[in-house]
Amino acid sequence: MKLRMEDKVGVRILHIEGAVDAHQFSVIRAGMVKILKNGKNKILVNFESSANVDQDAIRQVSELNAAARELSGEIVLVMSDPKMRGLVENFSKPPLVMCFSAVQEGLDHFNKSKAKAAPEPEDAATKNDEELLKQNQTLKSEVEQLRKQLTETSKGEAKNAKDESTRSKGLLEKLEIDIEKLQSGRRVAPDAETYEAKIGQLEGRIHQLVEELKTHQNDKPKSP
Amino acid sequence: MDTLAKNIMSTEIISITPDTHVEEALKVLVNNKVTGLPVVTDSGKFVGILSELDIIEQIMASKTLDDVDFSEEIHFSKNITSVQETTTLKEVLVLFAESKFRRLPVVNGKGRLVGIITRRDIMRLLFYRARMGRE
Repeated sequence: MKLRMEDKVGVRILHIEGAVDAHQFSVIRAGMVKILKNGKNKILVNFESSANVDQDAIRQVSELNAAARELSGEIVLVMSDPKMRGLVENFSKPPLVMCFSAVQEGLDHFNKSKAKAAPEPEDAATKNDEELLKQNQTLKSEVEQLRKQLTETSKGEAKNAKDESTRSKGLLEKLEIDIEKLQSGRRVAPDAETYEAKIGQLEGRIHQLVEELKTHQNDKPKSP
Repeated sequence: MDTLAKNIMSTEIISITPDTHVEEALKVLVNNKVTGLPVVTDSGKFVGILSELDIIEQIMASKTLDDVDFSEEIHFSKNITSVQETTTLKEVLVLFAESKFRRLPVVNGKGRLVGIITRRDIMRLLFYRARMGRE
């Protein structure tokens, strides 16, 4: 049996080549424990090129998988032989350990779990951005619609106000003309007192003129 | 055989280059839910670490928040302690204990960044050592 270790996208891959018996499996187990003790809990054990794995080995992998899962890790198996996969899948229901037919499938499983646990931040951001963009567009169109309504309303109101103002101006002018007419057309009938005062004034004026005439005649040089 | 840095380091590294703008660095930090990022040149050479504190300090250097130029290149911490792939787990633990570092970059002989060890990696490792006992 040969063991080889590889690190791919945060997953430790333990490649096993050759037949695996009970003793050899203890070596594999020790390898898995060492990986866990190094703080790496995403482990893929690749039995692709090995002959068989017994039930006790599956049980031991299941136990280690339970430990790995305590800190969100996982141990998965890769077996190309369908009979071997069936053995793992039927060992317990539901299966205690996931078993894939190819390494890439196992790696994809880890990637999916990672995405499920915490959605890819970049994607999350993009999703949020898209939602925000949609909201923004909706809001923009609403604002545009409201602005149009407001403009139309303002236009109508301004026109009405202008008409009202013109009408008021016309009325005012008409009113002023009417007042003027009324004022100019007004006739006050003179009473006796007014006549007497007028006569008095005229008499005063006549007396004044007579006096001036007399003065003028006296001042005139007498002809010899 | 001693556990070495290369056995415990994470090789999935999210890094940025020295010419990264502040805005882009903020995005990488937030989207990847990390508090610091290793800074590497285009050739992969490790040159420093950009922490959240570095960004805050860079922002605070402006008179007001309105004056901040987010298109400016990042001001990251240089002269960061790093470890070699062959550094032992015990030495790594001593560094974490003495320096209060949150993360330790792991570089190879050529100074290229090959991995990173965070406190969380140490916590996971310790848990499994407790769980597995003397196995």
